[in-house]
Amino acid sequence: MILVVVLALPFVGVDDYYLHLLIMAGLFYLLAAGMNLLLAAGQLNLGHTAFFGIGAYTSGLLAVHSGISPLLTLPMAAVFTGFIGYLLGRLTLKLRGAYFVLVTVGFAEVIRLVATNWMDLTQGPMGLAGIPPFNLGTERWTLVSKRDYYYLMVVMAGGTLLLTARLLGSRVGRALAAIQSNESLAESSGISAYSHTMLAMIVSCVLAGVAGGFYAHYITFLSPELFGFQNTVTMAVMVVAGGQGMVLGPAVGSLVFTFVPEFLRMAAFYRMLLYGIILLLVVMYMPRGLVYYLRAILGGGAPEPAAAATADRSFVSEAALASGGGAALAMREVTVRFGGLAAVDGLSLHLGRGEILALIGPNGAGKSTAFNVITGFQPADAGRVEFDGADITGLPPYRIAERGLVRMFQRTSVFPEAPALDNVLTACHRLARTRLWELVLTTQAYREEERGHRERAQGLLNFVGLGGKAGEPAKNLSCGEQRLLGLAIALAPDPSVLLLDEPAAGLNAVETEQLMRLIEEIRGHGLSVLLVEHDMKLVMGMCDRVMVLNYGVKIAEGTPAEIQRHPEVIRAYLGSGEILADA
Amino acid sequence: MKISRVITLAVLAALAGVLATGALQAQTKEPIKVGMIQPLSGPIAAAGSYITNGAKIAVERINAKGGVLGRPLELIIEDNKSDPAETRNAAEKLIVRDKVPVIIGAWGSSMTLAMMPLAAQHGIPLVVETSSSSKITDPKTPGQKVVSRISPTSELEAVGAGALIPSLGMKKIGYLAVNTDWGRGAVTAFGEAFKKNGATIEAVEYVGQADTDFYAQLTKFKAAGVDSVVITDDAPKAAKMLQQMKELGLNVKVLVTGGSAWPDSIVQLAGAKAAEGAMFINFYNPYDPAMAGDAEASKVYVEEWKKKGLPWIGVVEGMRGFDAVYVVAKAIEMAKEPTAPKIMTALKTLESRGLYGLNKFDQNGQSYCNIIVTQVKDGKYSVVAITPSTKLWEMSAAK
Amino acid sequence: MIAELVQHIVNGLIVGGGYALMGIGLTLIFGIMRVVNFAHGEFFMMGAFFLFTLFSLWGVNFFAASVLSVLGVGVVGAVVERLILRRLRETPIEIPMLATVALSVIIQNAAILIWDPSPKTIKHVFSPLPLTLGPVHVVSIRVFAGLVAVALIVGSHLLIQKTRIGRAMRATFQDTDMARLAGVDVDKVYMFTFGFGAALAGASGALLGAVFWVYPAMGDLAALKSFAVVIMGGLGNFLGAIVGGLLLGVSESLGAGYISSGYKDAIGFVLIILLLLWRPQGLFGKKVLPR
Repeated sequence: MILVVVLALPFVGVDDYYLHLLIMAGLFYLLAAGMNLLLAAGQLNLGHTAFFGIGAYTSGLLAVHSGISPLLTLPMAAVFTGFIGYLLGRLTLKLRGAYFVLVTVGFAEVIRLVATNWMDLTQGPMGLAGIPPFNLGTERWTLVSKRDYYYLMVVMAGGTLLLTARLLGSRVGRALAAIQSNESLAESSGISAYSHTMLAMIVSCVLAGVAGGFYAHYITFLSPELFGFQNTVTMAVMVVAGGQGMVLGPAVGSLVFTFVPEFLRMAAFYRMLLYGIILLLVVMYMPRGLVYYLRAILGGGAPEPAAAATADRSFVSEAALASGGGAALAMREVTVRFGGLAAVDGLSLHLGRGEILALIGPNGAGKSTAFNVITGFQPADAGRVEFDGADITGLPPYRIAERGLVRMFQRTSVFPEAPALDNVLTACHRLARTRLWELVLTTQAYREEERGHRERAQGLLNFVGLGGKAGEPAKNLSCGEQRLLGLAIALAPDPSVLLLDEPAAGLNAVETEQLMRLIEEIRGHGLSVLLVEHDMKLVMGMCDRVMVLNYGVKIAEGTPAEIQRHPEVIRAYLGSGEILADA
Repeated sequence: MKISRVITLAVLAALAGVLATGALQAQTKEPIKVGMIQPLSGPIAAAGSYITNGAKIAVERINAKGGVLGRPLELIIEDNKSDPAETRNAAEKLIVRDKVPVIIGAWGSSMTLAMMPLAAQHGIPLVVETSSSSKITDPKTPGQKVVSRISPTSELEAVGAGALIPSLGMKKIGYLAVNTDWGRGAVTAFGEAFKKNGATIEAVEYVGQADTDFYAQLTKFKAAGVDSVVITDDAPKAAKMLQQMKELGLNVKVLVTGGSAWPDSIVQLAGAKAAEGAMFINFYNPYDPAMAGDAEASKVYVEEWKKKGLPWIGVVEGMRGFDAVYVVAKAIEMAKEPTAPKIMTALKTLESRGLYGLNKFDQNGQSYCNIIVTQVKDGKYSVVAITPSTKLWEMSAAK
Repeated sequence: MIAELVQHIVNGLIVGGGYALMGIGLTLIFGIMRVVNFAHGEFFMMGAFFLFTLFSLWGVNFFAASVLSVLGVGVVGAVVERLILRRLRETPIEIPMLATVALSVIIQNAAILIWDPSPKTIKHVFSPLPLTLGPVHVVSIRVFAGLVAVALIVGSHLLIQKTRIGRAMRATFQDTDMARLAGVDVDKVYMFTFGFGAALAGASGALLGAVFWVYPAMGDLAALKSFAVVIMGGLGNFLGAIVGGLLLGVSESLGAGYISSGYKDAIGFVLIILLLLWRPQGLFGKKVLPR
């Protein structure tokens, strides 16, 4: 239906002015859609117009100097722009939030000045005139009319819509949302924040390159104003006011915010003032973006039917079954210093297969640091960490998770915005075997894999007893339920070793009982468990061995019974005011 | 949620309403529409507002005298935010929606260049009032054939001032120019003119459009031992450059090109002390109507400018809009009907005496205006030399 | 040679003082409120226009007018926080950022309508003649601007370190929830912080408006510069903003003097990119570990 309307527009009295605006809206849609993709991971690229400009100049200069048809220079420009995006990404994607925003602003400013001052290449502020329009090498096959360009843009915008819908609706979109929502948890679930944001960066830059190339051969004149900050602001307005993270957000945003300033031409000298006011009102009263509220008004957006909550609470743990004998996890003489202070001092640790080992100690004893070293969040100053006999010291967290060593966090164990099922589904990421192109084309294999992961996620929810809450956003769950969901998330990547950081914190007695039963059952599947816990009932009640840290040093190790009698342990705990006796 | 719902509906309703009015807009026969595109917001909004004010004065005067072909002129002014893409949007609107037969614009060269291919495609004549890039009237540039430019190129400025250069005694020159097409073009043109007269350009420094502090560049000039400084920039920046030269103890000869800075603006913005002795290349003298091509028009223009309480420093820029409207009016008069092709033909043979001098167009659509060298003397406006536009026309005919 | 170098450094330090003042305002607002303020340049512009209106149009004493202008901008900032940003506090970082973008469009274009876009000068009370210290030249208005900038920086530091509201600001900076539990009126802190940050930008604008000239778009470049300053120094870092401001001022002056003035405005950002290769968290930033 919509497609018919879109295709028929030039024939039903839409004049060239509106066609031009629709073309410009489409152009900005390509830019906004790219920006939206990266913003899905929480990274706002306020230098996006630099890539638009790079694409435009690349295609324009190639066509002017080499005489190659724009049909060829445009893809070349897109590839080149993607490459520049890769380079910038390598430099800046480790930055987060406002840092990334401001650095990209700076990048665009540098590129603008290069385009202004590198006269030999770009002709600088004199501008690049006489760029050929789209053609197939002959006069006869040259696009002239607005209608031709309109249809070309419809194809490009349609392609962008499909591509971004596929990416955002798949495991890539889930991974990006996870990175935005809780990057540490995403990494420890085996999702590489770097490679996913890089993928989003490259795709968004390629789209910007395509938009730039189109602009060059449509307007046929380029000047460094393309790189101006105002352009990026326009794109950001379209994404955020349209509805960030939503597939249709940038589309609606670019339409509305291309046409609004043009309509406001009626207001003459008050035009930009009114534009600012409209923008402010939209931001203040519709912070989720136009699409969100449009959907609410049009009555659409009925909640997705929740996946059937089957009684099946099983899950498969291939990793644990596949691993061989020997130690599951070992730390050898690991030291971590903060300033002059050793948070962990020559610590060695050994976790056997199917064993439950507890790490206890007063606050500041180095337990969390030990966890961070094992899972790759904190580099070790000395010593090594081995997993399944291989050295994993210094690997990034997602690589460690990929090998089957997964942790559950103490405070931030869930992705708060997403429904419970999606939380677990997201964490199934490392099990995916299909490739990116299969995902984009939605092949049979990909669809089957998705279905499999969905079943696995539901099974894990059932396992922790949250089967009925699959559709509930994680932040709406009770504290105890969130811990259980965290456990399901940690199990989703199919680990062979599980690290639990104070799993019973904030749980009541009944919930703790339930948790203990679950951990026992997990061990029954062949997993090894290392946990940090203050709840002595849990520690003493179910652990095979206990290890006590104080000031980063191991002061005791043994069975729960041995530890409870250990004089140094008692002294350490009394010294810190904590009592061991409630066990 | 409630408010957001109201706003969403309001936005939708507004969109629908505007679409409807746009479609229903009746074509009233009465006024003749003239399109004008200027920067009215953003960093160079001041220049755009001077020029639109000048244009409005011209339209009022024409309409008071009964209009053109018995119909009043109606100026449709669009903002381009000093951005080429916005200029293109504005031009699309003026051509397609307002169906204007002629457009005046669009201040900066990159903005003018961006709309030229479109105007050419629709056969709409462009009257260019400010842009200085030689590309605009270069036959190789797409769309050049629809351009009639009343403002001079930097090359023309250099030719007009050329006779004077030996007498200025500028030998070792530091060139300070704004980093735009305007500044870059002027550096090339004046650089050659000075070199021809045996001067050397010791250093060329570019400044950003929004820069305010030029100590770094001026300190460099001082170290290079220049005996004169040539500036191509707008009045506020030229004023600060002069002021900062005095502050740094760089007391050398100064020539400001480009026509936007003039003695009164610099005295007002920099103070008489800093401005003293500085020379300017201008195209219009508001004090001496006889110097303009049309003395009567010049007098009326200046009186109106004062009466409206417009900023006096903008009077020499405002005349660009004034003249552009008169050229357009004359062309419509000659064309006998306000249609684009007829106006285009009329512009080819038009001769209009205005504030720039004698406005008519050579085979590339370029007009040659008065080139006036002015100076601040005892804190007052004074004229050093003038190359009248008629002389430049003779010179070009001789070539 | 040496004289030229010293002159470049002196020039850079004075300009850098203004950058630092802008940067401190921006960095405080970010540090405490997590808002990237894109209207910062417009507060800068407002400070200059208020001073122009009070002093040049209405004839108020120059120093009284300066103080009133800065206070005026502070009040506008506080009102903006109360009416707009407070409503957006729980939203992701882009939302308040976009609100400040909208605000900057509104303020800048309102200024065009109120004061018209033509440039204005503030005919201040200082002598235009340079003070000559050996081979180095400085004018008294710039010395005045530099000294006021230093005084304001020191004053801000004392305010944050020694006063009750400063303590509340520091507590909020550390941990908003804990501060609230400890009885800090976080709403008041936010309102004060935004007003205070805006006032610092306004002070910078009034000073530089008197040194240079006043027009509606004057804040654009100033805002861009202050962004560079705060990334260099680390977002939310007071000392970092001062060091970043002076570093940017001097490196621009030297870069334009010895390398290329066309790239002057890029120097800050090139420095940043180099810096980030070495320290991704800025000069004084800290790394945060997950829990």
